[in-house]
Amino acid sequence: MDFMIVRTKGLKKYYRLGNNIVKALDGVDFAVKEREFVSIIGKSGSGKSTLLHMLGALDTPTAGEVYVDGRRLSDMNREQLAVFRRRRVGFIFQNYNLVPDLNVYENVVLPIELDGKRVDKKFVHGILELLKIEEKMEALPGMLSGGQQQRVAIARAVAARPSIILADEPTGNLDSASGHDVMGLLKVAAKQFQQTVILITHDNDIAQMADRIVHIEDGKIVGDGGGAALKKAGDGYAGE
Amino acid sequence: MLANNNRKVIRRMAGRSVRNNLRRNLIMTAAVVLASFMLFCIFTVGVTWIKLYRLQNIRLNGGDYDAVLYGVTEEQREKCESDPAIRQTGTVGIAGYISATENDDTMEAGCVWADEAYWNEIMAPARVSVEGTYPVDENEVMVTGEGLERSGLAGFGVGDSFSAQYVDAAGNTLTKQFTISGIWDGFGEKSAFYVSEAFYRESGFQIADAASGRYYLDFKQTVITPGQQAAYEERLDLGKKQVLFFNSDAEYSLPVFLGLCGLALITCLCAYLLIYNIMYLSVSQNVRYFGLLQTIGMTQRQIRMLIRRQMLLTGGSGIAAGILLGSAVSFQLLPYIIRLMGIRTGTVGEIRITFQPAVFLLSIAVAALTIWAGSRKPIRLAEKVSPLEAVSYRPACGRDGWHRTGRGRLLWRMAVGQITKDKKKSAVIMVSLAAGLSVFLCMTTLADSQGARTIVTNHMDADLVLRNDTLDKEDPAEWKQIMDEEFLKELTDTDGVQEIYPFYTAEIMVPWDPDFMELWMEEFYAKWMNIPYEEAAEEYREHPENFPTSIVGISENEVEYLQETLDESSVPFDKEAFLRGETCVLYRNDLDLTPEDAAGKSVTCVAFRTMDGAEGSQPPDNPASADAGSIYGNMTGGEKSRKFEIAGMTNEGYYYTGTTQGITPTVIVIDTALKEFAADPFVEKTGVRYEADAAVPAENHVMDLIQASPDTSDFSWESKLDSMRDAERAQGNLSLVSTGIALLLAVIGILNYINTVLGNVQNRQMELAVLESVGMTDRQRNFLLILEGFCYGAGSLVLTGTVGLAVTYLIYQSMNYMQAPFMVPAGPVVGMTAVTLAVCIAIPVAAGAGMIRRRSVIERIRGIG
Repeated sequence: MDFMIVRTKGLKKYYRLGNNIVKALDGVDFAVKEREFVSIIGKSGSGKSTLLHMLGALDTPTAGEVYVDGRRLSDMNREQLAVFRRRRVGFIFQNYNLVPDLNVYENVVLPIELDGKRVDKKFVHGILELLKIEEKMEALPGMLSGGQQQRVAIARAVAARPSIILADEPTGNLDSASGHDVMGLLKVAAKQFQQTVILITHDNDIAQMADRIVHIEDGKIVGDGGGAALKKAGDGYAGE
Repeated sequence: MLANNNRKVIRRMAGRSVRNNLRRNLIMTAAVVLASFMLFCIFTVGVTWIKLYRLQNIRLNGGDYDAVLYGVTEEQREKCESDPAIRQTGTVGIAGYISATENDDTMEAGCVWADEAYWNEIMAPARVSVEGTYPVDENEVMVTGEGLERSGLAGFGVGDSFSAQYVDAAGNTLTKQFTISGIWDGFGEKSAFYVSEAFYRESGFQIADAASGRYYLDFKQTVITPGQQAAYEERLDLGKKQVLFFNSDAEYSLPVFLGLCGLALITCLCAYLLIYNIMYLSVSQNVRYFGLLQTIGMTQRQIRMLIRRQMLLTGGSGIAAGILLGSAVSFQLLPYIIRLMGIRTGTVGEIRITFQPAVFLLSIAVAALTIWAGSRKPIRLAEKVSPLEAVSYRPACGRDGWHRTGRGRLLWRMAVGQITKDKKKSAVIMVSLAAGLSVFLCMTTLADSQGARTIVTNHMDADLVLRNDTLDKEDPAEWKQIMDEEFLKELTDTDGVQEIYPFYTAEIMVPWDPDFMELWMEEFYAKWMNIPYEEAAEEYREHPENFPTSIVGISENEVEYLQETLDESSVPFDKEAFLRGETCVLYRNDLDLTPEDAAGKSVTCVAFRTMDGAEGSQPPDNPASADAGSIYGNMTGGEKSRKFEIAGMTNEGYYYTGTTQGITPTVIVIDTALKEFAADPFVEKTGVRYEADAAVPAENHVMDLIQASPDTSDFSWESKLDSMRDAERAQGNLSLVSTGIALLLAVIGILNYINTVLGNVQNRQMELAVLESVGMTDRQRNFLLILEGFCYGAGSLVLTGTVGLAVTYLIYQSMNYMQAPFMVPAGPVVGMTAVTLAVCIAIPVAAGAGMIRRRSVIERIRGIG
C-alpha cells in the first residue's frame, strides 16, 4: 500500500464576511501519495488556494485535521510549524515572493541557513544549473525576469530537499512559453529529488502535466482523477 | 482650456480617506499632536526657563542690573540717564563700615546707602520680604536677620536700637546708637547695613570715588554683544580708576541666546523628522492607492491637492489637540513650580504661566511649517507613482543590481543589509533619535554643570574656609592666634577632613628701591590714590614703616594652584625655587603692570611688628640698601629681613588679605620661608577640603571643633554647603525645568523612533511573512529585529556621543558664563543609553509580535488587512 504523505480529514475553513459566513473549505477529505504530482483545479474562490495554504501550515483550519508525513499539524506550536515548513515543505508562489535584499544564491539557500545546516554548495549549484539560472547567482531578484524569478523560487523550494512542494499558480504571472518551461523544470526537479508536488493552476495544459487532477468547487472536492476531473470541471477554470 | 471644478470631489475623497483609513491617519495625527505638543511645551517651558535663568542671575547678583560702574561723575550720570538704551540706573555708596556692636567686637560689616531707584527697582526682585521701611533718619539702618546674627544682634527687630562703632571715610572710629527701621530678606549681600542718605552725606564718602561709589545700569535689551559693551565703555569715557563691569550673564547674553536658538533648532529638527518619517511611511504604504488614482485619471496636481487636503485635516486637528495638550501640561505643571519658588515682586513677579499669544502663534506657525516641510518630499513621491504600481507594486522589489553573496551568520547579514539597504531612511531614523538624545545630553549636562555644587566655588574649591576675625582689629594688640598648630592638627584629624590649607600672614614693610618699588608705587598711586605719588614718595623713602603690607605664607599643596593663577609670562615659574623660599609672587592689585615689569627683580621684606604687637626698631637710614639677613625688628628669633626674587604676579583676590592690606605689594611665599622670617606668623585663614560624600558630617565635626575653641566668637567661615543651599534657593527650580525639557525631548526622540520603526516593520510585513513561510521561526525573527534595533540604537548613540557631544560642548561653552567645568553627568547618560537600547530593541520585536498576532502568514504575504 502506498504511503499517504499528505492527508486531510474533514477540513473546514470558514470566514466571516460582514454578516455572512464564507465557507472556503467545507469538509475536505483528501490524500496525496508520496512522490505523486497532483494538480488542483477550480474556479476563482473555489477554495483551492486555501486548501494549499492549510497543507503548508500557512493558515489554520476552522475544523478538521491535516496530516503530513504522519504528523498532525494541529499538534505543533508556531516554532515547530516553522521548522516543519523549512524542512518538509517547499513553497512556490505566483508572485515568487523572493527576499528582495538577498541575491539568487542567498534566496535559494535561505531555508537551509535558517535551519542552521551547512550548505551543500555542489548540490545547490546543481539545482541552479538544472534550472538554468547559475549565471544569475549574484543577481538581486529585481534584476530578473518573471520566469527567472520563478525558477529561483523553484530552486529555493527544492534546495532544502523537502518531501513536498506546494506550488500556488506558479505560472500565473508568466507567458505561455515561460510557463511551460518552468513546469518542465519543476517536474524534472521533483522527479530528480523524489518530491511530492501539489500544484494549483487554472491552465488546462499545465494541469494535464500532473499525474492526478483534483477538482474543487465551493470548498468541496468534486472530482479526483485524470482527465475525468478535468472534463467535469468543464471549460470555466479560472485562477483565484 | 478651462479648469475643471474638481475641488469638490478631491475634498470629498480627502475626507473619506481620512475617515476610512482611521488607523493609519490616527498614527499621522498622533505624530502631529506630538510635534505640536513638543513645540508648544518647549516654547512655553523655554520662555519660563529663560525667565528662571534670569531670575537666578538676579538673585546671584543681588539685583536686576546688567553692569556696574565703579565711581560715577555727574557727566557720566547725565549720559546714562538720557540714554534710551538704559532702562534704569541706581546708585549705591559705601558709607564706611561697622567694626563692632555691643555684642560683637570682632565683626566687620559695610554701611551702604542705596538710592530710591536702586532699592525700589533694581534690588526689589532679589528681595523676598521686607518689614519696616528704608532708613530716612541719620541713625536708622535696614538689615537682614542674617546680618543681625553675624553682628551678635540676633533677635533684634524693627524699632530696636543698638550701639555700634563705625569707621568713616577719614578713618575715624565713631560710636552711634542705631535704630533698626526695617529688616529684609532675599538674595545678595546680606551682611551689609543699609543706611540713610543723611548718614551717607555725613560719612565723607563720594559717589564719584571708584573705591566707594557704585552706579548700576539696567539695559533695555536682553542681549548685549561684546562690541556694544566696549562701545558703552568708550562712550562713558572712563577715568583711570573707574571700571565698568558687565555682569557675567550680560557679558554672555549673546552666546546664551545663540545656545538657546540652537536648542530650539534641534527641537524643530526633531519635529520635522517626526512628521517627515510618518508622512513618508504613509505615502509609501499607499503607493498602490496613488497608482490606482492615476489609472482612473487623477493628475499629479490633483494628487498633490488630495494629500495636502488630508494633511490639512490631520494637521489642523493634530495641531489643535497638541496645543491643547501642551497647554494642559504647561499650565498645570509650571504654576506649581513657580509657586514653589516664592516669587513676589518686581520683574520676576511677572513669571506666570499665562496664555501667551506669541508662544501660541509661534507654536502653530512652527508646527504648520514643519508639517509643510516634512510633507514636501512624500508628496513628490506620491506624485511620481506610476499607474502600473496599482497592479504590481511590491514595496521592496524595486531594488535591482548585483550583490555579492555575504559571509557570516545569516541573521547578522540580513540585519546589516536592512540598515544599509536604504541608507537615507536609516540615517533619518538614527539622526532623529540622536537629535532627541543630544538635546537630553545637552540639557542634563547644562543642568548638572550649572547646578549649585558646581557654580558655588571657594578658593581652590575648598569646602570650607575658616577665618580669624581678630586680625581685622585696628589695634595689633587685639590680634590672636586662634588657629594655632594644635588647632590645625585637630582639624586635620577631624573625621571626613581630607586636606587643609593654612594661610599664614605677617605684617611687613617693603622698603623703597629704585628698581621695582618705585615703579610699583607710581602705578599704585595713579590707579588707586587721590594724591600724586610725588607727594608721598619722600615719606615712603624715609619711613617705609608707614606703608605696611602683608606677607602671606602658603602650604606646599597650594603652590600648584598659585602657579595656575599667575599672569602669563615669558619667564617660566620655577616651583623648586619657590619651595626653597628664594622667590615670591606678588598680588597685582589690578595695577597695569606686566610680569615682564617684575622679571628678574626682587622685593625686600622687613618684619617690624612682633606677635605681641610691639613695634620693632626703626629701619636704617637707608632701607633701600637692605639686604637679606639685615635685622630691623625686635623679633624673637629667625630672620628679620629677606629678599625674594619676583617669580610672578597673581590676580587671585584670596591672597589680597593679611593683617594689613597696604599700598606696597602683598608678598606671597612658601610657609616655611615665612616661618623662618617671622617666627610665629598668624594663621589668618584655613581652607578645608572634605572627603568625597562626607561633606555634611565633616562640616558638623568642624563646627563642633570651633564651638569647643575658647575663641569661638572670633571665627568666621565661608561654607560651600551653605552657599550651595543659597544657590539652590536662588536657582529655584531651574534644574527641574531643564530636566523637564530634556526628558520631553528625549521622549519625543524615542517616540519618533517608535513611530518610524512601527511603520517600518509594518511595511516589511510581507517580507517577514515570506521569511516565515520558508521556515523562519519566531525566535529567529525576533533575533533579526533585535539586531536591527541594536544597530539603530548603537548608531544613534554613536552619533549622540560624537556629533551630539561636540554640539553639547559648543552650546555648553557658549552658555557657560559661570565658568563651570564641562562634565557630562554619568547617571543620566547611563540611564539614557540603557533606555535607548532597550527601546530600540524592544519596539521592533513588539511590532513584529503584534503583526503575527493579527493575521496568518498567508494573509500577510497577500497584504490583506
